[in-house]
Amino acid sequence: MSKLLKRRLGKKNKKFEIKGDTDHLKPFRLSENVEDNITRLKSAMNNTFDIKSREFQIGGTQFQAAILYIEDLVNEEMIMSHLLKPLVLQSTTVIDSGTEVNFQSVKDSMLSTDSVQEAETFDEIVLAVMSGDTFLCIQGYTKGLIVNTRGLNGKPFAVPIVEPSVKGPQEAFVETLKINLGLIRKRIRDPNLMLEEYKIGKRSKSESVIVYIKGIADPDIVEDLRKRLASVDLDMDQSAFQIGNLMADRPGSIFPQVQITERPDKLAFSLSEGRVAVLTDGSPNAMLVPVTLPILMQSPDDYYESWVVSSIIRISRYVGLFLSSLFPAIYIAITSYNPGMLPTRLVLSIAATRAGVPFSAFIEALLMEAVLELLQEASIRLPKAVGQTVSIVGGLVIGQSAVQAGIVSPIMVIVISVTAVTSFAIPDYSLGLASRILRVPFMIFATTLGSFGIAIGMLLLLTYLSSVKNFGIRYLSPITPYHFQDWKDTVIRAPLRDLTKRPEFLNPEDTERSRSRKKEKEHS
Amino acid sequence: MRHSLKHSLLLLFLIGTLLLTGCWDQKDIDTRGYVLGLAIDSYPPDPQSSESAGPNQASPKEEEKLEKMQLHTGDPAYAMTIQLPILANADMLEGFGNQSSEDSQSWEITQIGNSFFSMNREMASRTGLSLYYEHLQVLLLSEEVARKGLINILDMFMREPEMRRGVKVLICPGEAKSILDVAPRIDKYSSVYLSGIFENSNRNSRMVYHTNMGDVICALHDGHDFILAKALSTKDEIKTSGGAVFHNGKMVGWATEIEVEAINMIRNTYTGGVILVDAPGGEEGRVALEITNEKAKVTPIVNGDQVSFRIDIKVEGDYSEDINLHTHEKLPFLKSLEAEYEKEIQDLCTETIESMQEKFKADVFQFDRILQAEEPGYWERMGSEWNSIYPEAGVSVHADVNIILTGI
Amino acid sequence: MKKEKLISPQVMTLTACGILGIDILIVQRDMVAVARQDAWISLILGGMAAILLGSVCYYLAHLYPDMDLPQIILHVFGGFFGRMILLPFIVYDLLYLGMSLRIFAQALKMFLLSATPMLPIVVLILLTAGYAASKGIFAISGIMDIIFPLCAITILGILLMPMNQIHLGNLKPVLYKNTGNVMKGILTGYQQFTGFSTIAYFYCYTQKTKGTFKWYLAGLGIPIFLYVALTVVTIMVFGPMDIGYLIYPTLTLAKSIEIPGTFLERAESFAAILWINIVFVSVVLVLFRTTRNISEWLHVKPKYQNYVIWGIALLLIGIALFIRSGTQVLLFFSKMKKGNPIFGLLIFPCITAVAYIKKRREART
Repeated sequence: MSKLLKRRLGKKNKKFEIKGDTDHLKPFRLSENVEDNITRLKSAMNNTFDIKSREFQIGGTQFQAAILYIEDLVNEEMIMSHLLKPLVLQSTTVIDSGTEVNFQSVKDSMLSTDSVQEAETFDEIVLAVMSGDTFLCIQGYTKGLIVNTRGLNGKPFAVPIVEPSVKGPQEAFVETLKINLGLIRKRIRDPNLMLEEYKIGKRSKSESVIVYIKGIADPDIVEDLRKRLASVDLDMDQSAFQIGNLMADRPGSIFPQVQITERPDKLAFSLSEGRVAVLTDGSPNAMLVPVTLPILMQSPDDYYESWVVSSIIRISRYVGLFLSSLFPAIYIAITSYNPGMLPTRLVLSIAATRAGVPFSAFIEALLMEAVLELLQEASIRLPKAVGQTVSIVGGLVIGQSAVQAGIVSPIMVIVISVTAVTSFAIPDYSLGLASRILRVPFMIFATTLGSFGIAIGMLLLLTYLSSVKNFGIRYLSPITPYHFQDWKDTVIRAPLRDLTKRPEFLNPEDTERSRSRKKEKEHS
Repeated sequence: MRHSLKHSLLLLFLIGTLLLTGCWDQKDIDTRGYVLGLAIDSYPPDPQSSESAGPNQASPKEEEKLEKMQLHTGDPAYAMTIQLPILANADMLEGFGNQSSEDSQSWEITQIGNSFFSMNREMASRTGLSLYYEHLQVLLLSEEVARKGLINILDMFMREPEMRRGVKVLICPGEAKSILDVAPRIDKYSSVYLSGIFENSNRNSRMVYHTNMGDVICALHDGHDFILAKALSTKDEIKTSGGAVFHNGKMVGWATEIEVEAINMIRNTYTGGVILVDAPGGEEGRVALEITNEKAKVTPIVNGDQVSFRIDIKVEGDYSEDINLHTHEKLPFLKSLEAEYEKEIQDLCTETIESMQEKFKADVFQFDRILQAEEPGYWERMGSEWNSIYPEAGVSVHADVNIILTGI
Repeated sequence: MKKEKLISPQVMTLTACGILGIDILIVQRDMVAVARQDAWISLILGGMAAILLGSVCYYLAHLYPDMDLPQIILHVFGGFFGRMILLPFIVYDLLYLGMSLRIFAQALKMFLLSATPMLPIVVLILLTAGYAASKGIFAISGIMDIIFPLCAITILGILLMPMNQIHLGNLKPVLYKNTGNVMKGILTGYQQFTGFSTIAYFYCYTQKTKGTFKWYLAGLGIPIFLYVALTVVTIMVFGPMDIGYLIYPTLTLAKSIEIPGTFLERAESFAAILWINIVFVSVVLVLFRTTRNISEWLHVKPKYQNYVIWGIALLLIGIALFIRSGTQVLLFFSKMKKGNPIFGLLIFPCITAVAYIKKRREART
């Protein structure tokens, strides 16, 4: 039986069939043997380590029974006191009073949970277990019972701090691995969701889990990840970043080689695109691989607005990325080397405001940049009560007074403030930091060789980015190499109905996300 | 390991190149002297023109001490004046174009010599600002200088990459310097004020609009004749209307405002203007037509060794004003009005062409270009004698006027 | 891991980037000097010749789909003769590269950085190009993929913006007693499109699909179209006589753009993005070609190829700065380009013919 199942699951999906729902399990039914059922059900859910089962005997009789549940999703208290206790211990009273032990009596008289349903086919059972219910089967019956034991209801455990979203769910990962896995499973009730366990760190032996959707993620990537994770040689892991760094292709790079996220919705969406996640116990962050620059510029908010609005916002993020590294450098290059590029009135205006400033444009920019970085670093550690005041004092008053004292020109203040603000338009914090680091080298290029220097700097940066590979995928995919179809979801966001395929550059096995409108018309 | 060695070596080279380069070209934006206007007069100046002494200027003799320079060869022939903005007096924070103080906003420096490049560099001994020509708005030449020939003086402006082809070139009947000394009321700098006037080309076609350095260079290289704008000034106003006619690269005379209008029409550079005629049908009054669209087609008609030109002008305009008349909206009146305009335009063009042919023998209409393009065979044969053929060439002008809108 | 391959659109960008080069700054002057106002006709015809000979190149690459050009030559002609044939390639490419760098540095000095000596400019651009070339063909194609659309759009911008200053009459008379010159100009026109042989160096890395040839033709066609359009617009704005006085007509064209009222009144900053990038991509590709040639010539293993790159870079600094006078450089460059048709008309067809014969013989045994 299980062989048939494996073959069935491994078959190439037919056209127009959305894999991942449990329909393909419909034909399979329970047998009368409890052990057999449990084994088959576990393998239908790919034998992930968090599926737990317990076999027992009802009330001391010879009736074998077993329960099956996923430990991340259930309320274990409920299972213990309302399912196991009644059946194993308290049912003796019922039996002694003469009730025959059969399916009906167990269902009616021996359970103290609030909802009980009968189930026969694998698809119902698997769906229920993946939602947090517990499955109960009894020896000799081809029917089973689904009992409601769902935990994880309602209140969020943590609120996202680093990646806030306007309209999206305000849920974030916590430090406990089990709860995190539950948050993921709650969003992906797909039996093909694979969880693989690893222990990292010689002393800490922290549990790490690789999460991916079998049948979507490229098996090469998963295999690569397994090898790398196994080769991580650590004493004690300090952060998700550390693990990611030790596995990365370019550990020294300032550009993030893994994406770190605290949002389960982002993670679930990435899994459905074909990416792979690594969660570690004790860390409220999950790692996502592979990562490319356009992926880092996406934000879950993009999918909550209309496509025109989202596309414009996405484009403005790229503009922000560009400005955040290059604006001071461009200002220095144009004013010091090529004032001919500006309109006459602007040039005279800038020159007039700069008259009397003792420093050259480069030193001015460097000074302001240093003050800005210090301010940003200080504001991370400020106690909440003083935070607002200090930032206002620091920003406004210092800036204003510096201008009036004639130390910096007002244009420089504008340039630096715009630069600072735009660096926060970048969704990924690490990428924002990278662009901040790049400011000073570009300024040096600009001040030594003007716009030619900036051009050289950008070419060097472009060369570097083109040469970085991340789990076999180029860092700038899908912009280059051209994957035209993927462009619908990178710099712009096409209407959702047109986003029917998964990103090509991740080499997913199953490419169709949803039926496109054209195909619907053909079939109706 | 090798990877990081390679990277460190590359980084070393980069940093070395960058740090050893001495930022040769870096100049802070406020240490440059933005030359807004440039005027060229001949030296020694005409004894008749007198310099107006401004409040802060020293007497002419004293100034000449600084203005003269020692020359390698030859005698001083030109006086070059540049206009620099005084940034400290420019009160930028109070909005634009207001002269909030009595201080002058610009500084005019004159230099006397015989080579523009050396004169330019000599000014470096008089001011710490390094002169920067990319924002040059206007180039003013005095009539005397223009009559001597433009090729003689414009070489630096053609060769230097800093000079732009969009600089406006104007000719002044008197001293070119006096234009720069004007203190306009609505702008800080006379050069900017002057170059702003050309943006009105679609309201008044009595100005020579195509008077850019680029046009001049093209015409000089191709050997065509052309006209340049004329600049007149008082203490605080500048006017440009009418033009200077150039033949063989030398100025040969002035074209009046209306002649310039006709030239613009024939050369298809007419973008908008007004024509006034007496009312038809013997009534006392005049009607003004605002011309919105004008197109001219020049067709050469070759007859053996003779050539004549047929010019078809198509005009569209609006009835904008009448004087001493009641508004007559009726169609026959409009039709006869159109006929009046057509006759006026035809007369205008024919007179101007004849005037250019006889007075100056200058082909400012660039008929030779048209001949080269349309009748290359004729041009090959007779082109070298264009100077003698042109004054004899016959022209017939046909105009077609359409009045589109009549207002209320 | 699947072996990485270049996809077909990248064939287009790599070919186009190989052809676009320093010529874009001076093409109008060279053409107008020969064919005057009909320069664009010569250019179109020269372009068609380039497409023809380019197809010959493509066919050669296609005959041995897993070898790049130096390997093919050594395989077909054997060690000794192969090296003899490879030598002119190496020498020509080195000279071309050196002169390109020099002309680029001169143009930069004229328009952007007037006081900077030429050495740092040449060194910096060589460093950057060498770094790019050392990263391998896939990283190079990534760079080209991004730079090529940027440059194409910039060129289109430079073409469209001076539209308010054109005089159609400058193009007339068309073909009046000029046909002889136009015919002479075809050779000059063909010379502007040197670089189509790059296909033979990277064809071995591509996914060989049916559409690859079409993308190759697009990669040839786009630079031809852009050069022709540029020439037409330049003639229309300046007139054939004036162009003779301009050293870098494209840059002067960019400078003459006047669009009142926009923020960047002086749109020549677009031109700066354009030509720095175009020269960069051209240098990278020629560097890559030369490295492969020399590596095969000297039997250098792929591991050590990066050292070859830096060696060539050092040599190039010398070549670029060798001739002191700027005018001499431009003259030398024009003369050198006249030698290019030998490759296209003589050498490539010979190699292809011999390769074809050899392939037939191999297939029979």
